[in-house]
Order: sequence, then structure tokens, then C-alpha cells
Amino acid sequence: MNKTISIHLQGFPFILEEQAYTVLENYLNELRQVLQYEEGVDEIIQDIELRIVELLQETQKGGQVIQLERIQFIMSVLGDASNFGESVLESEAEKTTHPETATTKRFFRDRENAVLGGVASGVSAYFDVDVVIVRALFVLCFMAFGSGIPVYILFWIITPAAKTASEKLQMRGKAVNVEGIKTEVKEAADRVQQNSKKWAKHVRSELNNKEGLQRFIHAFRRFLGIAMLFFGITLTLVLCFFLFIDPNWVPAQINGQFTSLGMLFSIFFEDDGTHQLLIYGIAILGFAWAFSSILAALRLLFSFQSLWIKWSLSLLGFSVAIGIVMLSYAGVKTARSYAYEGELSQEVARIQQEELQLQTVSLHANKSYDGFTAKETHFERLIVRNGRIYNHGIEIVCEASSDSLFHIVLIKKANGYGVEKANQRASHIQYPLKWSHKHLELPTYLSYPLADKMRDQEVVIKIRVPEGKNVRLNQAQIFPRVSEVLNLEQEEAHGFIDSDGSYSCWD
Amino acid sequence: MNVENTQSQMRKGILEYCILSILHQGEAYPSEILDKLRQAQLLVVEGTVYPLLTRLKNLELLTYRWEESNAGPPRKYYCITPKGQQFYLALERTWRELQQAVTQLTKTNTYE
Repeated sequence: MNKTISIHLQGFPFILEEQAYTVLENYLNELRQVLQYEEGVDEIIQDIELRIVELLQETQKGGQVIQLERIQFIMSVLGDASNFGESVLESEAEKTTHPETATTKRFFRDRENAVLGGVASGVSAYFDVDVVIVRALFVLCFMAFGSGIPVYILFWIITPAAKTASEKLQMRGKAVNVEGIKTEVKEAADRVQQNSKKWAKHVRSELNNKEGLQRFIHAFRRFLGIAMLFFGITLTLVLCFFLFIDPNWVPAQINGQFTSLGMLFSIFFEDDGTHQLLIYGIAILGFAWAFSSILAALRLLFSFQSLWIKWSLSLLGFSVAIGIVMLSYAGVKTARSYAYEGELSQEVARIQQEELQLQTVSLHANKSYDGFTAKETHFERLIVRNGRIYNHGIEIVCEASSDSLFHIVLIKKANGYGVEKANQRASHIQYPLKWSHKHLELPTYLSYPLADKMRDQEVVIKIRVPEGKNVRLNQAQIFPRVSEVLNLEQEEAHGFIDSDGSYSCWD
Repeated sequence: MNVENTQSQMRKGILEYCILSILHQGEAYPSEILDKLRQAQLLVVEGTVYPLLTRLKNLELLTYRWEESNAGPPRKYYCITPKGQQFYLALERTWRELQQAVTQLTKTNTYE
């Protein structure tokens, strides 16, 4: 059983056995190779093909399959390819510098053993090295700043693939001479010209996937497309998750304290829509990113281009603009609410004592202290409960008094958009310090309404200390404080009380 | 150097002259030229003729025209140009001289 191939030779149809076809094709390719230096190769080949048609028609009877023997006979009539070449060499004696092509080793791409374009296998055939070594070298070059990639592509473009039997032999030929290299260079230049035209056409039409680079680009596009699709879908899912679940379930962190995203938002952003604006702004930006990624992926994967993609892209661009405006508005509005500082100062006590005893009252002590109740074991620095924020960091300032009394001044500070708003916030701060049994009880938290938001609310307790008298906090003397370095009494002492009741000095 | 090679070289050397001579008698298409050459037993393989025809055509010694054929593919009828005529006449003169010289020489040889 034999496969047949139907061909057209100079416009005349013939049916050939596969073997006969291969032999004929190789013969014609060899002729072309041998005659390549002759002026008007195409014309000569055309004449020869016409002659072959004549010879085939002499014996062929309607639709008869042409067999190998017939082709071999025709080849014997026309003569071996070398005969054609000889006449050229002989008649142009002054130009006999052409190399004997059959013995010259030339560099071809070996498509039969190719992974991409067959450059590596061509190199291995040329230098007679194992192809694995050549590939490994190429891969190493790829990794070294990608320098191998342009080299490979250059070889790919300028090197012809070994198509015919004689070319395949030349690919592995033994002799190398200067002439061979010269013609190689000349041909390479021609090929670059030809190939660049061809490539331009390919890139424009994107039709021919057979060429290796095209295949490579195709694979890369596919990979990129899948990655972007995956990213887009993941981002969409994540955004949906964050948008539609209660933000109070989303963990977040502030001052080393774990809380929820919803809590964080409600602590910082006003309830008058700023909060929502921020969330929706982020969501819009996120979705725009996700969808444009998905669209780009679809374009890469299926390479379709339609009007609605353009529309979607412009719509996404518009959404990004809106998202940015929303975020900027929320951001500016929030920043402006820190613009002015308000301060309320009030002398809450005058005490005549030999020594002022301060006692911190912690929430964890499980004391019900003007509504303060908290977990027993944690010294949380920020607590939001019952519509109020409880924050740590009570500042204590000790300075000299002008009379013989301890003066206790309570200063409440807050920021706001406008002095009035700042003062209003300051007045909302609760700090219930209390005098009981010869000592002053200091809570470890100040509190203010959640509706006021966190706007640098602070409490400073200023203690004016008469000369020669001491201040003790939880039994430890905090004023006057002897500087360890200068051995001098300092006129002022700054410190703050942490949520667990411990005192830290700032000086 | 073997005999066959020399013989083939000798034949090829005068092939150009012979082709011009055939076309001098009137136009012909390649197969006709080949037949005539084959009859004269001057032809070893057909392949050598085609590059020669094209080369002579490129030198403007020959020209051709296409003619449809009922029997097969279109035929390329070659004919000789005025420049080709001159070229042919020059070759002919040389050939006559050569022929004479060679005949004379070979005759002397046979009589010896």
C-alpha cells in the first residue's frame, strides 16, 4: 500500500507515489541549490519543469499514478544535478571560485530535531556536539540577563532550515573553508532581508502559527492570559468577600492591637458617608483593576477585538477616575478634621499634703468605675465599647508651684475642623479622676464618644508641686526626679501612664 | 583524468556552437533541440542544455516566444537574434579552421 500525492507542475496536475514525490522534490531543490549562482535560476527551473511535464505526459495515461521508476528514468534523462552545475563552472571560468557545495559544511537549522526553531540542534550538528549540551548553554544564556534570547532569535531569523537532502548533508558536512563562510555571510544578509519581510507579514496577519517564534509568542500570550485571568478572578472574589461580609469580621491592627477593619473605619472616619465613600472608592478601584485584567486576559487568550471591549475599557477608565475622586475626597475630609487643636484646661483640685500620693486605677482591676468595665486579663490600649472609645496614654506633667499647695490641673485636648469643633471634642472627653483617702485615683484610660472619632484626644494632668515636696505614683517617687547624669534636680517631669498602670518617664 | 570526463568536456565545449547552429536553421523549442542533439549523438544528459539556453538568452544572442501546444505544456520557441547571428558566424569560422586543423593533424597521424 502506497500513499499518493497530487501535485501541480507548471499548472499540470499529476498524481505521484509518495516516494516518487520525495525524490522529485529533492531533485528540484538540489537543482535550485546547484544553479543558485546562475543568472535566471527561476527561468531555468521553469524550463526543466516544463520538460519534466512533457516527459511525464509522454507515458502517462489519464490519472495514472506516477511511480518512482518513472521519476528515476526522467532524472537519468535530464542528468544528475552536478551536471547542471558543471556547465556553469566551465563556461564561466573566471568565476570558478564557488565552493564545491557538497563538501562545504554550512549552518542550517535542524527542524527535525527542534524544540523551538531548531537553532540548538543545528549548532550541535555543525560542531558535532551533543544537542543537550548546546541546549543547556542556551538556557544558561537565557538566564544570564536574558542575553541568549536575542542571539537565539537572530540565529533563527538569519539561518535557513535544512530542507533538502543535500542541505541536511551539508549541515553535517566536514570541510569548512573561507569561501563557504563568505557565501554563508552573503546569504545570511539576503535572508535577513527576505525574512524580515516575511516576519512583518506574519506579525501583521497573525495567521502563520507554524513558525517557531510565532509559536513561542503564542505560548507566552496564553501563559500571560491565564495568569491575568486567574489574578482578575481572584481579586474579584476577594473584593466581593470584603464588600459583602460585615467589615467587623475582617481582622485589622492598630497600635499593635488586633481589631476589625470595620472598627478601624468607625474609629477614624466620620459616619456622614465618608466611611462608605472610602469603602466604595476602594471597591471601585479594585473591581476596575480586576475587570481590566480579565478583559486583557480574554483578548490575549482568544485574540478577539470588538467594540464592547473598547467600551468596557473606557468605562473602566471612568470608574478608576471616580474611585480616585471618592478616595481623595474621603482622605482630604478626614485630614482636614485634624486641622485645629482645641484645649480645655481646668484646675480640679488644690491639695495641702506633705506628699502627693497618686494611685492608678486599672480597668482590669474589675472595678466598676464610672462605667468602665473591661476584660480582666488584657491591658488593651484601645477599647471600643458601648459607643465610646477608651484610649490609653495619660500624660503627667509635674512642675514647681508658686505657693504651698498641690495644684491639680486637668487639660483635655482634641483636634477638629475648626477650633469650635476641636473644643467641643475636648469637652466630650471624660477622665474621672477622684480624691479618696489621701491619694488621688487616676484611671488608666480616657474615654470619648465613638461619634467624635479618634482625633488626637489627649488628657494631660498637670501637677504643680510646692518646693521641697514629693509626688509618688503607686508608691514610687516621680517628682522631684534626680537626673542620673547631671545629679541635678530637674524643674519639670514628664511621663505617661500606660493601660496597665505603669508609669514611663519621657525625659 | 578519465576518458569519459574528457569526452564529455569536448562535447560540452562545442554544445554552444551546435545549439546556435540548430537555431540558425530556424526557431525551435527545447525538446526539438534536444532531439536533434541526441540524433547527432552529441547529448549525454538533457540537463546541461537548459542553463546554456538561458545564458545565451541573457547574453541577447537568443530570444524566445511562447506558443500553446495541443499535446502538452506551452512551448518556448527560441530563435536567434542579429547579434546571435554574428556570434554564430564568428564561431562557425573558428570551427571550420579548427576542423581543418584537426583533420589535417589526425590524417597525418593515421598515415604514419
